[in-house]
Amino acid sequence: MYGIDDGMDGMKMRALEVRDLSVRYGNVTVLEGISMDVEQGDLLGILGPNGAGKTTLFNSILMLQEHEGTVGIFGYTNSARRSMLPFIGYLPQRFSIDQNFPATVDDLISTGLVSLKYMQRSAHLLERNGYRWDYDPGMSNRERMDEALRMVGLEHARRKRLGMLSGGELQRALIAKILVSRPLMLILDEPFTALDQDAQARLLNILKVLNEEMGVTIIVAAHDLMLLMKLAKSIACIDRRLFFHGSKDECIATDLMKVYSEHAMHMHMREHADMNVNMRMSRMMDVDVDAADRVGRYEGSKEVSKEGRHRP
Amino acid sequence: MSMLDILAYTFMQKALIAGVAIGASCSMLGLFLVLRRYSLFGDALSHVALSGIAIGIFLNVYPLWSAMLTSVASSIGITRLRQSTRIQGDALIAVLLITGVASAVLLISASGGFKVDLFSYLFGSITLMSSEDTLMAVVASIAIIAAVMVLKDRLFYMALDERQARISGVNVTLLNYVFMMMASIMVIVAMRLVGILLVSSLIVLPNVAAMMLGRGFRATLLISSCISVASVIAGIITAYYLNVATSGMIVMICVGVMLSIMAARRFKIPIARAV
Repeated sequence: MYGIDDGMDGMKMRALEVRDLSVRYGNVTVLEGISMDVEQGDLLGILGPNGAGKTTLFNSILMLQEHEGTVGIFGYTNSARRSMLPFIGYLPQRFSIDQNFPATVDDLISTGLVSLKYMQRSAHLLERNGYRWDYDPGMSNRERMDEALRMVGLEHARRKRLGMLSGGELQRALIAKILVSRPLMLILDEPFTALDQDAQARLLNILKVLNEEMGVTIIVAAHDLMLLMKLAKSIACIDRRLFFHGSKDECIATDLMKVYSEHAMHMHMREHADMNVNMRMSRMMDVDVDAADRVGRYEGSKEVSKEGRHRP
Repeated sequence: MSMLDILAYTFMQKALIAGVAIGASCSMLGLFLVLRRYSLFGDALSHVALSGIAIGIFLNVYPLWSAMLTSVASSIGITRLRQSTRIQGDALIAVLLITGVASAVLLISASGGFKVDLFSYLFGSITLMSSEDTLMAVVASIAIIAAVMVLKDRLFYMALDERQARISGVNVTLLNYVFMMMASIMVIVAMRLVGILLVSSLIVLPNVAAMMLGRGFRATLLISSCISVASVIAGIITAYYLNVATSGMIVMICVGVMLSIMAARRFKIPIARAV
């Protein structure tokens, strides 16, 4: 086990604290008043439709996005949490690579060793707050890379170019890159999208092993409630606001599945209605909807840069 | 005249020593520029350096120093602009290039038109390099190669995914400044070899060729340096025998190597991706 221990008194320690987190682009509110705690060793599934703000929430936690409110990671809040970021393995929603980019699976995984160096530098700060990180200092870099590749079952592909991997293989290579530094927390943004059934089952298994056997705290975003119910210990449901956060049992008791299905249906219809209106308007005004949307976002984002916000 | 006779000339010795050093450093740093889609950054910086040279000639100071100052200042400015605005990288390069040429034209006209000195910077003059120039080129190249070797993992991580590198703890903002300053110094040094107009060739061509051959990052870095150094040596010697411009010959050999590799891959000759 290389995860973090419970506190000395047996109480669960918090890996992540979010208080009143809001993100606004001008007049558009993307996230509003999100507050939640994630205990160490938890496997939290974050559920929400497209555009609900899941990626924005992750970007805010990871200091890639300006936001209001407080975020704490392993006891360090706001800008002080930067030193804790290397302890988080992040799998983005999209990772595209040019087919000609000269990098093999081994090259990708070796970037995880860069994180390891920064983690070693910040380990004493982590211990100061009562957390423990067992990274096995006696292991060589090659052994770490081999271990990570073995965990995701990619030993055979280490010399393959990234551009030649299938979607599932690339996903596993990215996870191996994260695992090589033995992070304490994983944040995975819709990792199941674009994976077939077999690849999904394999990823589910890897995440369960990491959480249950190695004690890694995992936060995973997805659209599919059924999938999250198979995997997660607790569920949070967001759609700009947090409208549910509880254990899996509480999720079943509150009939979240029914609520979410209705909500998802409502969102789906709203998105389509918006799309139809936009298309009709664009025909009338002869403008490019995407371009107008981009300009809108750009104009909005300029207004966010005010004092008192946490800049990335 | 045999090869050994050529090597007996001091100007050829200096040209080969400086050429090998410049070729290796340009291709190594150039790989990161190419991977980050900044292939034309060297071109833009060299045009800014032209205005620096014009300032030097105008003020009667050593033009390479004024060119280096202008180039480093521009690289810092462009990095700042890139981080604080949403202007695309290629548009910023275009702005830099245009500004460099326009200010150079103004300064040249103010100083009474073109002079012979300026032509040696435009088209390169490695065989006319002084001992001081050679020493400067070698020292700067060694410094750039050493810096690349120390920073290569972090630079590669940034080229692969800048956001991930930032999360992992890499000081991306600082490293961007350091990288751009290194690139601007490299451009000034390479200017003596191939000239302002062809400076980006040593950054782009060996790397495009190496990316077709090397499977991984380290192999690509090594192949690129070998192609660059071999092209520079072959270019200098061939140009001497044929009595043609050295810079043009070096670049045409680089182009030839690249086209040969493309043809080998097209006709499935088994040299492709051997490393």
